[in-house]
Amino acid sequence: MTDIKFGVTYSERPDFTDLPAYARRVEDLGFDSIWVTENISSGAQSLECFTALSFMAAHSGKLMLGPSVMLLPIRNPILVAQTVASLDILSGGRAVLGVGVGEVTPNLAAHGVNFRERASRSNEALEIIKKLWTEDSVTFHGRHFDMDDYQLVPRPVQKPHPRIHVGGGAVSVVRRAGRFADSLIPVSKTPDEARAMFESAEQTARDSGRDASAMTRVMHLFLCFAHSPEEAASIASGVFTRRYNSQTNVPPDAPHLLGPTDHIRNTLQSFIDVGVTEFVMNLVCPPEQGLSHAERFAKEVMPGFR
Amino acid sequence: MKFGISYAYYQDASQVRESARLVESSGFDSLWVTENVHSGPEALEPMAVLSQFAAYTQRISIGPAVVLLPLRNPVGFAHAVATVDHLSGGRFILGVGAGGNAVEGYEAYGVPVKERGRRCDETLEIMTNLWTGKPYSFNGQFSRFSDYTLGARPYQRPHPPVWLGGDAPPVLRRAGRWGDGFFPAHTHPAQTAEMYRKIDGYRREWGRDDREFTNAIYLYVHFAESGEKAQAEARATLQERYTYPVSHVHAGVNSVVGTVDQCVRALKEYQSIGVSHVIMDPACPFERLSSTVEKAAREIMPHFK
Repeated sequence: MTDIKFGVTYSERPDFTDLPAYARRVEDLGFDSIWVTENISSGAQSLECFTALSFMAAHSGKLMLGPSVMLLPIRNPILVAQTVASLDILSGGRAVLGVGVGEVTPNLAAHGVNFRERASRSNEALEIIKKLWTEDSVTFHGRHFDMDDYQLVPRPVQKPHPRIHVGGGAVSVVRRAGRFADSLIPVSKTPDEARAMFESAEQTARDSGRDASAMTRVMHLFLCFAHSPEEAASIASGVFTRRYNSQTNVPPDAPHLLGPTDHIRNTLQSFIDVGVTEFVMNLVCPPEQGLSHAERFAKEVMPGFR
Repeated sequence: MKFGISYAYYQDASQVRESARLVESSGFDSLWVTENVHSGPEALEPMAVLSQFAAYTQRISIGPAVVLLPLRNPVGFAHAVATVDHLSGGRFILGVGAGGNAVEGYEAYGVPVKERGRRCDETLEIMTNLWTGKPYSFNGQFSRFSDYTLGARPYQRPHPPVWLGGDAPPVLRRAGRWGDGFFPAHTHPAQTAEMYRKIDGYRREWGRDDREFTNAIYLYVHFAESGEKAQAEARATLQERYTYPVSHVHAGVNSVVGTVDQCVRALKEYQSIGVSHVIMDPACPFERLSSTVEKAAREIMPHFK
């Protein structure tokens, strides 16, 4: 049986004093990765992802570290390439770059990014980032970015470069993942929908002359233990409403890890059945209970998949 | 007088960890990292390094000396600063600069060098307001947005101290308008005193003279048995470090490069003109960093406590 990989997120908090203990405990529990959700403007205090990840690198030794996901169009690709290279060096080769183009328009606007240009900016940025990581000197003339003979030093530890995850649900996201990413991460999709997306991304990769077999299938799922899916969905809705400062309703039958242990196991299996080998679990329980849900997952669910 | 160490040329995590612990345990007050974009070898992204400094130290202040502010998006950078301020438990000092000689990378970032001053001003205004935690609108030359609330307020209130680096006339005005501190690099004591005096005037003009303000300085440090040897070694190190000529970097009274006695005398001069925090940049390869740090702590700092 393939070893299934599991990671958990760290999200909003009233303060962040629990972060060192959280990172250490998550590592000790046997998780493979830890992720920071990006939420620059929100109803709750949230961390900037790369600084938080670099801090967590100092408080862990094995965990892979990445944003889940960070808004690519609001960032300069040179700075992203440099920052992730630094994170990779400072963590001894544990950086992952998870990117999304973002739906939250206030963030794009505040960063001076035209909503309609977010996709084309992201595509150019991904191309530039990969070049900077792998080529000695980069020349690029695009719609949004322009550089001659730019050399990134230092480059990442991981070769050829840290893995790139592209997350989202739109057709354009699938194509972007196929062209540039090492993994597509569907968000809020059923197993069948996810399978179609993975296959489509892998087809795009082949069409682009890439090795599609090197792509892994990763799924992003919300996690909250409760007596029933209804209760979990209700808790998650409250967490989302506070996190994003807007009313959100999570349906109980959503294809997520919401409910009792058996339900969570079965949902995971349904995604494993369509080829998923890694899960990024976004904790949507109340923030102060995050660690207890991660502990419960490690104890009650993880052993069955390893 | 307080003392700090600024260095940027770490190769891996263990060098960052060991250096941070050594600087703190040696009794320094602050630890800094420089930003180099495309103008030198192997410099890590400063905010990533500072996040690790936050993890590896408990007492000392940490900050960039300096971050190239025109290359940063004001909103995203305000969030990153607030984050590291939290992770360090309120020990962050934000040192900002416009680039000085190190502007080679600007065009590739899409930032015309001639805009860098105005971008600094806008970014300082935006960040200072976003850090209040209230919805904020801005309509400027480079940024336009309305009713935006930053995801994290800094740990320190109203915000971490902002120190301006540089010595050009606009920098002095900027320090008076937005700064909580000022640290020119490699300037002579008399020249430095004149800059402090000008900033005092600007602070009065802006009605900020009742606020706490730190007069600091950034100087290279390197010791040897003779002044000539120390200067030659420092210059060789710096010429390898930078792509631009380092002819302007000469030892004497605008650095802490020389014999221990010469260095103490130079620092006394800075102390006499009101410098309250000296940030020393060891002009040596990493292998000699720890001996420079230890020597400065043991033989220099006791003269100023």
